Amino acid sequence: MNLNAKKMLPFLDGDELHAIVLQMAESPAGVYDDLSPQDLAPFAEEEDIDLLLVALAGKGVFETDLYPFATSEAIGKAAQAALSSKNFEAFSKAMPFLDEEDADAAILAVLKENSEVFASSNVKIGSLLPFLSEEATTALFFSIVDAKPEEAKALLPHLEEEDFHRLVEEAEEGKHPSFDWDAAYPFLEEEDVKRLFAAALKQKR
Amino acid sequence: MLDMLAIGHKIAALRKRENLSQEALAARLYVTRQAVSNWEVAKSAPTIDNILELSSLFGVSFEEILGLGEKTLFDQKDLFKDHERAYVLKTFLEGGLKVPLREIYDQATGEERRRILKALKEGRLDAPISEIDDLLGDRGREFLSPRREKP
Repeated sequence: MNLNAKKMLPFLDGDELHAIVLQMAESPAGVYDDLSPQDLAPFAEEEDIDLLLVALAGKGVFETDLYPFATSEAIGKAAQAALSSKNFEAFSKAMPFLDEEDADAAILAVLKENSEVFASSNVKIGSLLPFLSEEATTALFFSIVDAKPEEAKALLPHLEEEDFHRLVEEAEEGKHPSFDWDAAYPFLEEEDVKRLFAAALKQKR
Repeated sequence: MLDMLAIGHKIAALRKRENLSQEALAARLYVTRQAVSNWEVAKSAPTIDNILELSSLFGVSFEEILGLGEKTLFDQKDLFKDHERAYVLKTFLEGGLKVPLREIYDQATGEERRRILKALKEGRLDAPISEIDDLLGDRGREFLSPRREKP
């Protein structure tokens, strides 16, 4: 008898679905018989989807179709793995499904590992902003300020006073030579504005 | 943060004091008349070089043009009047503008309200949420509610 595994899925109980999940998680490409993770997703428990998503992400397989069925925590781990392996598409697709703290955790963990990761990516940094806390926004800004000054400019309205202070201090040390200060000065606090203009005046003389 | 609209008004006032048209000022600075017009209404910001040139041309310090050290006055009935909106919001979020939360929330745009709610959620803004409870709606309340933990 030739059974169609996909048609059987609605009739399987939790243990049977769990067993399939484990088989998929162990397989190199995340498939079991004719079944794909997407086939399984509507029927499996959230816990199993999490397990599958994270296990596959650990192997470099990013099943982004599972995101709507998984928890934010698991998607955060998959997003982190996607970023680490420079799969920016899988990373970007995860963002709308993440709670702010999971989005932050993913980004901060990867930046800690490789502070240049976004500098060489094609991710539109501005599109990440709605999902990030100030801490992650700051970390992102300083990670791209030299490599992507135009995109860094778009983050200026979201930075805090202490970030600008750090930026001015680093500029005084000779860092960020290509940064567009004309775009940044409106955001600076008075003392930093004075320092920046004083430096500009000194250069003119 | 600088109040670019106040700076624009200052540039316009200094220009008029010198009996210069926007076009005449633009010619002195080698920029377009449109650029001067945009500065005066805070549609764009003069460059640092432009500010230094204006300072030299008008015989005032760059601090004066930028309004550094000046106390900002806000119209309580219209908090955003004569100021750049981003400046007003930032000043409020950083505690420099002491008005009831409801007053600014009432006058804020959707995006500005979102920033206020984010600051409340992250504990950066210490204000009683009850003041705006009737304006929040279901989405606002859901946004402010603590994260649901997985059972």
